[in-house]
Amino acid sequence: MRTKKTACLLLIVILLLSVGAVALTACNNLTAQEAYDALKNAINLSLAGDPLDPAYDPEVSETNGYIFAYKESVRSSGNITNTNVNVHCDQDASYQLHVDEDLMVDLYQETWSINDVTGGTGTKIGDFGFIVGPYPDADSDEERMFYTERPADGNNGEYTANKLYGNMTAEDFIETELFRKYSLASRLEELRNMPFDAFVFDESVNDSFGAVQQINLVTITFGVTSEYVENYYAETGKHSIFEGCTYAEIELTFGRVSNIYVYQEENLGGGFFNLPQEMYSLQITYLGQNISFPSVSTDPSNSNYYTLDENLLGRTDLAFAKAIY
Amino acid sequence: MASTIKRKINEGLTQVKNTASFIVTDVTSHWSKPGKGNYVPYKEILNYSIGGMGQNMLIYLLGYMALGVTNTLFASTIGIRPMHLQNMLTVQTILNIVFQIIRGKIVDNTNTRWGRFRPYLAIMGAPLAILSIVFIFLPFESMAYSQKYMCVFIFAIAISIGQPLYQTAYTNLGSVISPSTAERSKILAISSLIYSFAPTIYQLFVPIFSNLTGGFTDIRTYKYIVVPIGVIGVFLSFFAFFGCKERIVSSKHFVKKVSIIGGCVAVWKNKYWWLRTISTWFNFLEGAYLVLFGWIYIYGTQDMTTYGILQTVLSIASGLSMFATPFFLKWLGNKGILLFHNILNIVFIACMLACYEIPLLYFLFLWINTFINQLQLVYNPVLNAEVKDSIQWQSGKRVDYMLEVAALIGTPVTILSGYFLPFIYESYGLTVNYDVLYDPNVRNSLFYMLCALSILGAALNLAPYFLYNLSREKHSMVVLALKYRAANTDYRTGDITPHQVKDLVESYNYMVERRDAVQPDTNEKKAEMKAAKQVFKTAKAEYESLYESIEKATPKGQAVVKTEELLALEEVYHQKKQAYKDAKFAYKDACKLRRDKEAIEEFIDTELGKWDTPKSQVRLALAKAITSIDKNDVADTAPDLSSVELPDLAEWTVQQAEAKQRRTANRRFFSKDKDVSEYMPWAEKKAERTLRSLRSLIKRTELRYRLMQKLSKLFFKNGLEYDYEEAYKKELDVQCFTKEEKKAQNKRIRSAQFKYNRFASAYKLYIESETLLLDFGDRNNFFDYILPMYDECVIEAERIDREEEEKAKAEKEAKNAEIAEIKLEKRMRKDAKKEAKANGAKFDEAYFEQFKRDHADDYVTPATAEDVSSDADPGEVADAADSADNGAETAAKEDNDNEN
Repeated sequence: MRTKKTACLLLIVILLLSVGAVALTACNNLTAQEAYDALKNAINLSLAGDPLDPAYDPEVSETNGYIFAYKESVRSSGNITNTNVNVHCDQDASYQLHVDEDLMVDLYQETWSINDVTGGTGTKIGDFGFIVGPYPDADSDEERMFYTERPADGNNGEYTANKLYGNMTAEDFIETELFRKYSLASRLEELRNMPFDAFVFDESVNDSFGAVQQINLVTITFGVTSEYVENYYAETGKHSIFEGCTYAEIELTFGRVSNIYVYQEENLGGGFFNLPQEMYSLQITYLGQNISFPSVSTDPSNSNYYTLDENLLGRTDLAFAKAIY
Repeated sequence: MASTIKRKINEGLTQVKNTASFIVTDVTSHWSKPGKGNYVPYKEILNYSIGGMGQNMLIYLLGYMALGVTNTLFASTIGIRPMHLQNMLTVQTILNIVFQIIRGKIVDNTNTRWGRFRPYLAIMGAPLAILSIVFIFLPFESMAYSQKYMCVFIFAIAISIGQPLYQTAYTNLGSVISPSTAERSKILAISSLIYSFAPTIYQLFVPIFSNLTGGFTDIRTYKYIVVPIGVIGVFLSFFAFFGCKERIVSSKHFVKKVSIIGGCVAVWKNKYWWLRTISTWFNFLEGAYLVLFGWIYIYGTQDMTTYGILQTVLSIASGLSMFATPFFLKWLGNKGILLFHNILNIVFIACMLACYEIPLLYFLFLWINTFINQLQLVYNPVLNAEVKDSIQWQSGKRVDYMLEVAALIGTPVTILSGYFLPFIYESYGLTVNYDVLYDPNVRNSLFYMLCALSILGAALNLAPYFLYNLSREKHSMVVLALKYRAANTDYRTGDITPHQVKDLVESYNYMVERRDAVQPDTNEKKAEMKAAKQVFKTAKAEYESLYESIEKATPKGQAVVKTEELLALEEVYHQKKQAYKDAKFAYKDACKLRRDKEAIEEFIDTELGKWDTPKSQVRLALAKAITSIDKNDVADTAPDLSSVELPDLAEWTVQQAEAKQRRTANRRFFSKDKDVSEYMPWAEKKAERTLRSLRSLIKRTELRYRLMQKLSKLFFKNGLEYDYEEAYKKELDVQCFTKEEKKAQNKRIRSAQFKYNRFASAYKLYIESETLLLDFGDRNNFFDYILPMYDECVIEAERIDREEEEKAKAEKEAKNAEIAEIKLEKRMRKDAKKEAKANGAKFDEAYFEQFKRDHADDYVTPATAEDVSSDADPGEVADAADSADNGAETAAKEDNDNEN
């Protein structure tokens, strides 16, 4: 009995120790330079599959940067803009991606007005979206592009739906100037060009600053110098995503960029609650949800009626023209 | 042959028809009024079942408000980090300890005119549903992470505080719906059959409909599919509130108070409880793979229709498993089933790991593993009951409701271990954005890791069970020891029954027979079995070889002719086979005898000799000193407990050394022949420890006595006025007929309960001492009085059995007659209507009465039907009535024809 008892206890201890060892050895801190290098490598790997990007390297990845999905949320003084982009391809039974088959794009952006920057509730100002790809119709093998726009009437907040469709392949759509504004490269561009000096990793400035590697996840928490923000605006004429930030957090998973958060310390009421608020967030995955087409009707009285517009991308009055970037 | 099958099929069909007819008539005739000997009409059973459906549906909605890293609403849809969810869960777990006590107090003190549990079904459902709905409809799309975090925390905690009140109210209502145990079981069986339809349906359709709303990662699925299910559930649960009654409030169900600390200490001293509890601590790892099935379909194939169908198929595994468990338990035994379950878990999780890329194959292994896992739904209560018996034997306390409280000791472990999986999730990129699971690279890496952790968890889960040795033999000896104790007490109180005596003495005789049996050498028996097997194998090989050679020589199409030599070999083969079977049986029997002897030594010998131990001697001396003082004088008088003498342990020390030597010699492995003197140092150390613990016992008792003095002074300044326990029991038994009476009684019950609790707390030491002395006084009742009563009790028990059998038969016949009468009445009414219609007369009660008088001779009365088939089953009686009805119908038809 004693031998049995010892053997069982030994087994439990060994197994528990192995679990504990995995947990403990899995975490290690990175130096500022290591964190910076890891970030730069991650950006390159994230864009390595995009033929239009300088980081394009088909040997490293056939899909990264080409197949992606992201959810972006930008808070400004009066609005919050959520953008979802999904460039999707088929995968086979063993989960291998096939970029050349059934490529589809889903782009959707909505804007809400909020009372103040910490307010949670608001009203929707409007939205617009594109869905592009091979149309699942037995009668045709056309590649179609669907566009919807619902801007709210400023006075009484009513939506006016605008539904159009035309013919275009997803590959062609990806190469348009329009889509380049929403590509993954456009979202990672600022980070890619940020010099080492722009980052503040010093723990004496903020306790949470630093970089930690946790198995496949690297979390980099940092501040940004005000000089960088000013220079960025002066050089590009655009506002930096880090403008006014208290700190920012970037998560790299499996060597690629997965999440970016920019926080600002905000007072939630009477000076008692000071919680960090997300001013900007970008959540990336390298294959998104399946995309399905909207139901389409040719009957003008039907709510799903779409108007054929062969020159859809040539128009300038569409919502994409109002995009923030 | 064909005619026999046809006849049997016809008989079977008739029987099914008769049974169905009986059920229909029974249900319709006792729809609003309960049948004879029952308390609950069928209408109420249906209400209870529909209420169960409602409860189940609301719990489904509330399930999405439960904190946990696998919650698709909080994690995948709203995007709360796994580690943050775990932080909230930790706070909830700690708060729950406090709220569990508060809830217990609230329910214990609930005595309304609707009962104790029913009100919670009515008042908790709607607020819980409203909280969930408000949460689901919050504008998350325009919220910052910190706002989402705060909302999840507030709503989830608020719901977790109230939900248990609602959830347990339904189960508890089931336990008080009828005072009859048999009827309660019937109601629970019927209702579980009905309300299980609800999960079957929504598990199938929710995933299918979620295709229209964007799947389980889209908030619209929760808004437009899950919420309506919960809302319907709230309304349906009112059926249980309005349509059911609580019927049990009486002293028969009065259970003496066991203090929380006393109960927990009793549980914590039990080895088997610890082994089972430690094993459950690793469930967090073993269950890691459970999310993968959902992930495959939600993020992998994104085929929610197949997901819905497979979930329904998966739920069948649980049902089948419940049916199969008793067979597995019988076949494998207690320890065997624990090892079987956990080892197969490891095997099947490994299979899932190997084939996760083929969803249907993965599902097959998941299904089998679920089947294996669900065995514990049945065997856990069985093993828990055995552990409770073992705790009762060890501590003398029945701790039915204390196991869960005692398990709170593991709260720090579960809180800490709860962080492990969120840590792994985050390490594999699953932080805020669960959409990363659409990416096969991320998903597959996580799959591998979670499956590997599950296998590790299953191995950890398994390890403690290698030490679990509460075998069936041991449990039956625990039960015998408890029966022996109960019989000693029941003999004193006059509650002992002839059946109890018969059963106990027979069990005791079996135990004596096993104890006195000569123990064969199991190693020798094993060697004999192996030798017999070898001989059997040789004989078999010889026989088969000759048979094959003859078969080869025989032309094709002709039967093999058995030669004399083959026949002789065949006979030898059969003999050896039988010899092997006998040897195997002898070996197994020898092993069982050894286990029996070990169990007898561990439990029965200890029980019979327990009053001779040094601890018992000191406890008795202390109890005598305490009870020598009158209860009313306790506050001012204290006995001199420090003068209690410690026993001389010289002889006891030698006995301990001898017992140790005997135990070591009995061991199969590592046994060495040692002299008693070699065990003396060990026994002397044990004696020293015992003396120390006895001194400590005396000191503790002195302290407890002082506390008793203080409490009695505080609570009973004027002394004890009456017997508080009896007064409480008396109040529970008062019958009430009006609402006012019930209200007044509830008030009196609360007051009597309060006084009794105060008395039990203040005089705890005194009550324990009295009980101990009573038990000591009863110790020889079995040998002195019960054993000699055996023959007399056997005769008496047989007489009672006969009487009960006759009574049951009479009741059954009365019920059959009642149903036959109802059927006959229905048939007559139908015929009367037909006749009235044919005659162009108006059918009313007067017409029907006249019809009955006119055709009294045409219809066979139920009494006649009963005579026709005195021993027949209900269906046959109904049939007889049917044929009688047919006769009457023909007669009526003839009458009509004549008239025409």
